[in-house]
Amino acid sequence: MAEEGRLLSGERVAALSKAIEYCAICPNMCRFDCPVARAERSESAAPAGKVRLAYMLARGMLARSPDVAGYLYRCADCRGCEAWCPFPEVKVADIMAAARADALAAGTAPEAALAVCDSLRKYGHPFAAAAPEPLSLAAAVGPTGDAAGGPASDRVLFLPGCTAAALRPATSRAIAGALTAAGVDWRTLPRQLCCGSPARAAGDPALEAELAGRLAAAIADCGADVVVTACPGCAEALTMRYPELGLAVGARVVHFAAYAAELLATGRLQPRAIAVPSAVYHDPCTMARRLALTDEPRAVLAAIPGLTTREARARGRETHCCGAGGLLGEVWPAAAAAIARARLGELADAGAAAIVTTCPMCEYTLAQTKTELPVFDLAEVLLAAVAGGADDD
Amino acid sequence: MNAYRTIYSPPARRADPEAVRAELEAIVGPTRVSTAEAERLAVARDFWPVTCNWFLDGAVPAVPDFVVWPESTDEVAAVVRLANRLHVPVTPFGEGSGVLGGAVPLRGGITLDMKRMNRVLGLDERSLYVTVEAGLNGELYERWLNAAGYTGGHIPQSVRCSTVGGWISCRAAGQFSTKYGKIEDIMAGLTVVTPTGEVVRCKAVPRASTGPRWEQLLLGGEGTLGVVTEATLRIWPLPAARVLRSYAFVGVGPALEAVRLILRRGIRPAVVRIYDELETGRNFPDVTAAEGKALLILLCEGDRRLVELEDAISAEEALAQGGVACGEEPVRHWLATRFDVSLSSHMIRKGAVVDTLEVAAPWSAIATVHRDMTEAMMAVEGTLVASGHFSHVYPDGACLYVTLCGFPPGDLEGYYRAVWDAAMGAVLRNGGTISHHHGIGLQRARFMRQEHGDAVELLRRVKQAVDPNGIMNPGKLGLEVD
Repeated sequence: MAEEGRLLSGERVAALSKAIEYCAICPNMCRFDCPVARAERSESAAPAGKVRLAYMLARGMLARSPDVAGYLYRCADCRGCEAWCPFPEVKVADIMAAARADALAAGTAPEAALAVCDSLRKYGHPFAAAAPEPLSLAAAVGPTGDAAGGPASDRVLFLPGCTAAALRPATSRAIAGALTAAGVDWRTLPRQLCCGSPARAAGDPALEAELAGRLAAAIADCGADVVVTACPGCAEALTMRYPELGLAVGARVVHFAAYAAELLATGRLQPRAIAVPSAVYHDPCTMARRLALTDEPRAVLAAIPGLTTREARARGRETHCCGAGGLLGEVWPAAAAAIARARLGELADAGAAAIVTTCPMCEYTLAQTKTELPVFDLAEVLLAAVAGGADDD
Repeated sequence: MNAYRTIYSPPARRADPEAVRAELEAIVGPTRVSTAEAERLAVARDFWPVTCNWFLDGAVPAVPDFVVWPESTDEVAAVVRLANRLHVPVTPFGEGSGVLGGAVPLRGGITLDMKRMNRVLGLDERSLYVTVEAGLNGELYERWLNAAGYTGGHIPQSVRCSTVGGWISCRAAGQFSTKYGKIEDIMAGLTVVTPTGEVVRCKAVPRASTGPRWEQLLLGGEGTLGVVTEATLRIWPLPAARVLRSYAFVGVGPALEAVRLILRRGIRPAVVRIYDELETGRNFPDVTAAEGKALLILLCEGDRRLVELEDAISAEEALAQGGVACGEEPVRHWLATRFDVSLSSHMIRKGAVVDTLEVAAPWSAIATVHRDMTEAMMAVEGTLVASGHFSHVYPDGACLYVTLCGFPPGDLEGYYRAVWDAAMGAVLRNGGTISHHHGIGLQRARFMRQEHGDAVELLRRVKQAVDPNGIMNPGKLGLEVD
């Protein structure tokens, strides 16, 4: 028997056959920390449950059908399972991305995933229902053109990302405002260009590569030294996925929270007290587990005088998902909503006056779910503190 | 077209699926009944290791006709009444971590996925009881208790992938069982839906003298005598102190003797594990003082002053038997790796048969059981490794946990059967019991008569009385065959 695994059909999945076998015959000790499994409480939603289906499809044990393919989309790409997995090569989200690609190639992908791909092709972003047109950044965010100088003469390009541009304009504006307040001479692209990760989640690697290539070229063309992103997903794609695709952006890529922590440390931002007395910080999954940025957002909050930061029980790398990743909300909206409600409950238990986070998709999802707590991006809180503050004189 | 094989064929005569589905939907609603292939296949197996071999080879044990997700004891009762009336088999399913095929839906029918019953129903801090629903995941249960300042004291290796109902149905044991007990000691009260659909509620009391205790009969029923839906479990305040110790001995004999004497003096470390020479080498290669020896690890926890005393007395007895102190590090290593079962996956992928066989015997027999059982397994052609550790201890004896790895020289099933026959034979010859905490399921069913003697007939009559139509988890627990 080949060490690399059994013969699996499906081009994408076959490359991962060893990891798939490990997961498929594992007792699934990660399952308790899978948000979809917690919400759905079905064997098919547990991490190994999904991988076993991928195995059966690829082995030909199970006929390909839209009904079965739908189950491959019950993964929020939160990477919660990886913390408990003894196999470094097993990444359930990557296995699901490959299995989705095979499903889409076989013509069995769910309509909702195909709609995301259509939106990406037509408008360059995945939110056709909210914004049926390309997203102009010039008017909504700020100056465009070649990247300009920042701290230590960095040439800074600010990338809001599709979610902030389409669904959370306040986040884009706050980051733009905070950069300006710090004296960073920044630019953005004239038009929002998707990083490609929604196409990967949908199961269309060709579209992902096309979108990623377009954005990488645009960044390279503008001559930025530093790319500041609003979205952890964009930062993850640019720093971790693009090298796998053979793409280089030729710039340092940093999430705004980490960049803001640098601006505070060098005295470029001087926050004052604000009206929000306490906040609980929600660690977005990608931010905490993929980018390992858990201290930086907290350092920014800690720099705001008088603001008490409370902690959720599930935090840092053991944070819990908001339910919106991996196109779960598009394909399995009820599961995504249940996950969001559960996470809101956990955040509310911290007893703070507001929720602060660093992912526009988390913000949109949590704010859309019924909650009495206001939800802010870190940049909104920071900008309020540097632009005025409650004790501003 | 689907091309998976099933190891066990469903019966030819079955109730009309459309009629059953309509009635199930009337009870739980249309969204909590499924006939989708993906859902049915997901519960077609548990973690019986041989099913991993089968699965990689394109086969699943058996597929149910329906998956149903009840949300209350009353819903379970209604589903079971329906199944009893229509003679439809019912298999309860938690999180599928059982290792003997107990959750395999042998005759098809309804698999009752219990995971939607996962609420905490009450906490009695004065009596130290918590009442929960049976589908609650073990890790989430323990975390909930920890947040409230308590521990459930029940941490099986499967804690992250098993449920409270599964623990009770299989008479589970946690790694900290010497202090806190097995689940039968921890369980104070129980709610069970009988095979004819009545709800039996056994209230939580410290002890009682009221005739036979129903919860003790239903405990360990593996779903054959009813469906566990709720339980009241004993809990403990989070320990204030914890001490980690390890000692190396020349062979398992003196290590067992040290532990026997420690328990005889009334000491109850939470964790007591003795690894034979093979397992010490495999699991603790960096402990040079234990090279070629048997390693004992101890973890004492609880009130600080009591823990100090337990530590002092344990040390006295360990040193008196020639034990060499190896410090805290081996215990830390065990704590860090105790949920890692990845080695079995590596070996199964290479075509090996891997299994774990846990048995128990009194002190007077346990060393002989260890020797005879591992020798008998090694004597079966194809066995590469049969090594053991003593994973749970009591004042009167211990549990021996043997790990098997073999490459079948001929057909897989033939080798598997031969090695199990050899192992169980050695245990039974020496007066031990064939299972300490994994249960019977399918794999051990054929040994039930040897285990129980004629008493197995009594158990079968009980089964016939409470489940006249034989609907509850048929084919398990050796209730049908010798």
